[in-house]
Amino acid sequence: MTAAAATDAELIAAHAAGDPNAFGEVVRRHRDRMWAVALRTLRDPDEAADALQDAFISAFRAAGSFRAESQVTTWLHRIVVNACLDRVRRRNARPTSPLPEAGPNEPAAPRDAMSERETQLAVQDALATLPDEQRAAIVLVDVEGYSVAETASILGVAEGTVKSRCARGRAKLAVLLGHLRNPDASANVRPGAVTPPTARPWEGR
Amino acid sequence: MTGHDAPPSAGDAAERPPLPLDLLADLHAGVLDPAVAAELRQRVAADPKAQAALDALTATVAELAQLPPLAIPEQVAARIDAALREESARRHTSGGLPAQPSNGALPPVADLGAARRRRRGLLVAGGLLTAAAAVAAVVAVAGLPGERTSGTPTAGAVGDQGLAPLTVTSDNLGTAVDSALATPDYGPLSSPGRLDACLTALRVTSADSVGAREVRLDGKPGVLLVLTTGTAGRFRLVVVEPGCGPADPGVLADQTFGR
Repeated sequence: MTAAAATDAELIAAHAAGDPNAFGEVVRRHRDRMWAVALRTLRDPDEAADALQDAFISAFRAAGSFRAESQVTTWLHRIVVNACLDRVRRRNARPTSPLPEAGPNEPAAPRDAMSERETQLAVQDALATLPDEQRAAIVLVDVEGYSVAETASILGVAEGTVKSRCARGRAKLAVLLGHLRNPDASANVRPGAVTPPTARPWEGR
Repeated sequence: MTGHDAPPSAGDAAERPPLPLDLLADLHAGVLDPAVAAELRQRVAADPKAQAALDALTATVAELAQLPPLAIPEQVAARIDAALREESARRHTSGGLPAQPSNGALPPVADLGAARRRRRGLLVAGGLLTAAAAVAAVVAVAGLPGERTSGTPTAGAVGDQGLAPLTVTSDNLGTAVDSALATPDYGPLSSPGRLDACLTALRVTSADSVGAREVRLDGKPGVLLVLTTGTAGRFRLVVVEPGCGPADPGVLADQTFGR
């Protein structure tokens, strides 16, 4: 018989039926992407690790309620994002440390493309200044490439809400990233007030 | 005629107040009603500043899309693997997954600090458990038509009602896996004593059997057993005769399915 790779849904079914290895395979398949979402949503590696662990254990326990009509990745994203937003709500009153600019969480600068790397850091800095709900929508739609409909399902909000959050967030980012130097009505952004704390060479472009 | 050489549209744009960036962002994101959007696009076409703002939003989206994929740090992956092993060990101890709400609410997760402390001690136990569970899947082909005991309540994952046998061949046995996993039905092997005897003959344990289904394999009635292999997503499918017992498991098919 031809050995075909089990689908995510088959693995979840096997896990629910008692296969002790099936869920681990699902985790291995998707943990990088889930890590990216958690880290970019929470901006703190320790908190992202805790949230991801919470989320995967919740998913492990909730697998019996998974319904095959939805995608496993959408289901997992929903659990991860909810775990992250729960943490965001709990920590709202206290400041967070920004993403490290280099280290094990980030790939090394590709080849000699330092300007590209700098741009990526600028985007990360700017993302960190957005309100949490706007950032979550932007991360899912613009960074991870999910459709508005999928993102609405993951976040548990209407599609119009996703579009609106993306619109607000992009407007702020366009100012922060220097694409708009003198916006007439700057999307509730006062450049001097929200410019990332570290001066970046791209600000003058 | 006088010397009015500026295009009327440019003059209009200069006289009107600038379009708010938030409104342009709504237009860009598809938030606006189609009729409003169409009207606004006409105005944008005559307004270089508004057009520049839309271009800026497009450039912003492009930069977001260029953020590199992130790889989970090894220590975080190892920590999550350990937590899942601990959870798996707890599941085996308690006899299965806890009942879950169907409304999407998540169950509470154990305190991470306590979990981290326990995890150190359970890492070894979890590893041993996983290794011990590495086995195979077995399909038993029923050959004794009068012995069917479908509907007999049994322990473990055995189904509580008989299902019609699935027609399969040795070339498409994998098509029965979903059903065997979703609704395990051991058919003529449903009584715990018979199942244990059959599994013992196959040199596996009940913990290895994660699914079962009565089948007709190449025209013969039988039972498919799905066994774990120790590799996620890979199962051993064994078909045994209904008389599968300590003296002779009556293996009619023995295949690996999955990656």
